[in-house]
Amino acid sequence: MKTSDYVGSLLPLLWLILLSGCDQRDSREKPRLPQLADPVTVVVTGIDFKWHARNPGLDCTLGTPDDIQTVQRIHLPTASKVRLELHSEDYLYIFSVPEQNLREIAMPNLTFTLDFELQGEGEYELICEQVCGRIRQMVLGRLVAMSPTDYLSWMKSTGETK
Amino acid sequence: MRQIQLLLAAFLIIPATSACKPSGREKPSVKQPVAGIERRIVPPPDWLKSRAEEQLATSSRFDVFHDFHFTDELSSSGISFRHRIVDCAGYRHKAAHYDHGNGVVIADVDSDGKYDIYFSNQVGRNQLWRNLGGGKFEDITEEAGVADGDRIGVSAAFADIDNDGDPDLYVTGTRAPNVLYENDGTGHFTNISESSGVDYTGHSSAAVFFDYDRDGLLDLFLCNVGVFTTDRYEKVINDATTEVFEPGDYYYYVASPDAFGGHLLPERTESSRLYRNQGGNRFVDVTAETGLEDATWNGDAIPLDVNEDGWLDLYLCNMQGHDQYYENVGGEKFEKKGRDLFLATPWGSMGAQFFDFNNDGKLDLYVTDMHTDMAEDIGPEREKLKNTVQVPESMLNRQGIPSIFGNAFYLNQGDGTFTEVSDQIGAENYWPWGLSVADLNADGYNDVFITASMNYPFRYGVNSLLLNNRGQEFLDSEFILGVEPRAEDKTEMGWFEVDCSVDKEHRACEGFDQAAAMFGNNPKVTVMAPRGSRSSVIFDLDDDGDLDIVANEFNSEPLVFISDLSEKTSIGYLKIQLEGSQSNRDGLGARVTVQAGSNSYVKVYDGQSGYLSQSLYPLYFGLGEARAVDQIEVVWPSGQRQVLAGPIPANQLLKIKEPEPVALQID
Repeated sequence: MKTSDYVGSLLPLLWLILLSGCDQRDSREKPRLPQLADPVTVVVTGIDFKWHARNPGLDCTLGTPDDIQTVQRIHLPTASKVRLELHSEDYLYIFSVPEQNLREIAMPNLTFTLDFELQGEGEYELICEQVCGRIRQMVLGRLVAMSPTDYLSWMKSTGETK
Repeated sequence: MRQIQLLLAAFLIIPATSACKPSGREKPSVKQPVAGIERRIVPPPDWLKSRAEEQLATSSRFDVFHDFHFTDELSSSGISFRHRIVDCAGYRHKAAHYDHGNGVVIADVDSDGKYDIYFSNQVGRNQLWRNLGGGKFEDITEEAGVADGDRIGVSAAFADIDNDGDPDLYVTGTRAPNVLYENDGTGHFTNISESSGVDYTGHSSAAVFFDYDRDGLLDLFLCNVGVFTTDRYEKVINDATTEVFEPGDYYYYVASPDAFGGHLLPERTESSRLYRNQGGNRFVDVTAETGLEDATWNGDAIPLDVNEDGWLDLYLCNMQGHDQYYENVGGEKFEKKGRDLFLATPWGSMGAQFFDFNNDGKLDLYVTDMHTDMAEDIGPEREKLKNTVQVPESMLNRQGIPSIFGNAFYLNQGDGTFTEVSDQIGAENYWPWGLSVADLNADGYNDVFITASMNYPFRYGVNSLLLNNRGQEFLDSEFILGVEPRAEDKTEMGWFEVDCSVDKEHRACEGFDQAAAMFGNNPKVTVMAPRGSRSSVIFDLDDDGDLDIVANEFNSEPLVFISDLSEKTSIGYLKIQLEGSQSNRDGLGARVTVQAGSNSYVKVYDGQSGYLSQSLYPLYFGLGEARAVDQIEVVWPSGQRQVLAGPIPANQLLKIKEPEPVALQID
């Protein structure tokens, strides 16, 4: 076998390892299609009229050191089951993405959840209306809907830069 | 981010005038300082002109008399009261219940036959203004002893708690003991709060006196909202915009940032209270034993005899959820029957009134809903429509029960049921607080004035004046009758001042650097905000036979609307003042029916004069073309039925005293 053939045969395997995301160790032993947690659970917290997000890192477990934390940009995969756990550290907020028919509140000392599958990639403004007691249509952040592949890439690249 | 900034700039920054130079539109009757640059959070209501034109064009379809006018005569009245707010409704704004403001009540405190006005204030003194006649008033707050300037006030209620013939006064507040004053009959009051047992401390709202057990003594239902404050105690900011108020340092408990969701947290429940009057100016809390422990966020309530069994029931306005209706069972307990009678109620109720809309002898219920209008930005073109409310169910917490997202009008069907007809009769409006009901054109049908507008940081909203079109519908008439636009088009005012060189993070300072350069780098910003009303009372202020309107504003001076109806046309009316004997002296709870020819008019005297307010005043019956009445029937709270045969001339104040019980002598 030529070297180039050898490398060529490894490339698919390397690609699968890259995309396999949360199940990296298993996939090294048993390569399979890219896989996200089911559901992808993300904690979203309102603080001073900004959404703060905590996504699980490559270990797929929230509350561990490799969690990815962002402010005013919430990254989520499309075509995947997603669960948002909504919290607030101060005000009453509404998490609203009208284009995706998503609306739920965030309130201190309470946890509300949103279960959904995003349809369509793109960016959506996260608007809180009058109920926040602020100027109409205040933008608290943006939701970034990414393909599962792009989401996994984002997880890896963000995790590596931590 | 750039997009966000541009969006904010579009809403936030409209430099209006140079430093200290009021614009041409700002010619207030009181000093209105402007420091540095003016900024508006929302654009001025340029839609008012077209709204006025559209409404004026509708007057051709009015069958009812509308050729009269209200004029704001504040400056000539002598009244210099100004309502003032805590910073949670201004500089440090957050969505919390301080923005509900305060009540305004009337009674003849000194027995001179003229009705005096008591303004409740949030920050600074409440004020009592003595009616001198001819539309003039003088401040007698200090000599009357009813200022309460050391606390955050909310509502007020006049009621004769000891049946001695003069109005006593109860004043509620936020996290300060509520105060009960006994009147000596000359307008001098003594604080009897501690001994009375009604010096509750909490987040109180309206106070409602009624005789639930029909023992002849007025009992008290105290509405408590819920815990909407933190334990942070701060001084109210004094700045250039507050110089027009009484000087002084005032303190308040800072509102919870999540106050608007407080109904979701059981630990923030603060049940309203029922106090039974034991006599001797002492009350006892009977909330638990009467079954009235209610966990709703209750800001106001009205007594009403829905089932006409003689026992006054209660309708509780829940500002964050379903309203509640409690049926009085023989004066011993209350049974919750809200969902039986009123399945769907407004989700964010503020005020309610029980009156006869169509003169069919049956009393109807009108409930205004403000909190629903918090849910989304409604443009001027949609004010008469119900809210589409996109608020999540978790916030509404409705437990599967339907709600009405806007005002409700329950038409009494006469068979123990009510039909909701608000949209059919034009009862919807925007940002409503409470309502005052009276026959403003003396045609025999009850009209409605609704205080409205939400102030900073929202857009201007008009007060609503709804003329009753002969029991068929309400006609929007605020522009036709001169209630809108406001005098000198004063729809906004300086709300607070920000020094952007100090508080750079304040929302009013966003984009300040660029704007400041245009105005000499003056770091002071005066934030302009829309005016708005909270509570109102309708009575014949100048004793000329027609009805006038006084409104307590939020963070500004009152409105004193004087009607010229009696100058424009010949009117027929009858004022009736009740005096109970077996019943409570005020006659609160009495049902009065006036017969004039083929027309019959029914009113229940409940003292519910407006949002957060209970007053003592004569009932006013407009008589249309009639100049005499054929019969008056009074059903007193005691159950006694009294009939006065006519003809009784119109256009007078008639005093009706409940007959003393006839002593049976058995030989």
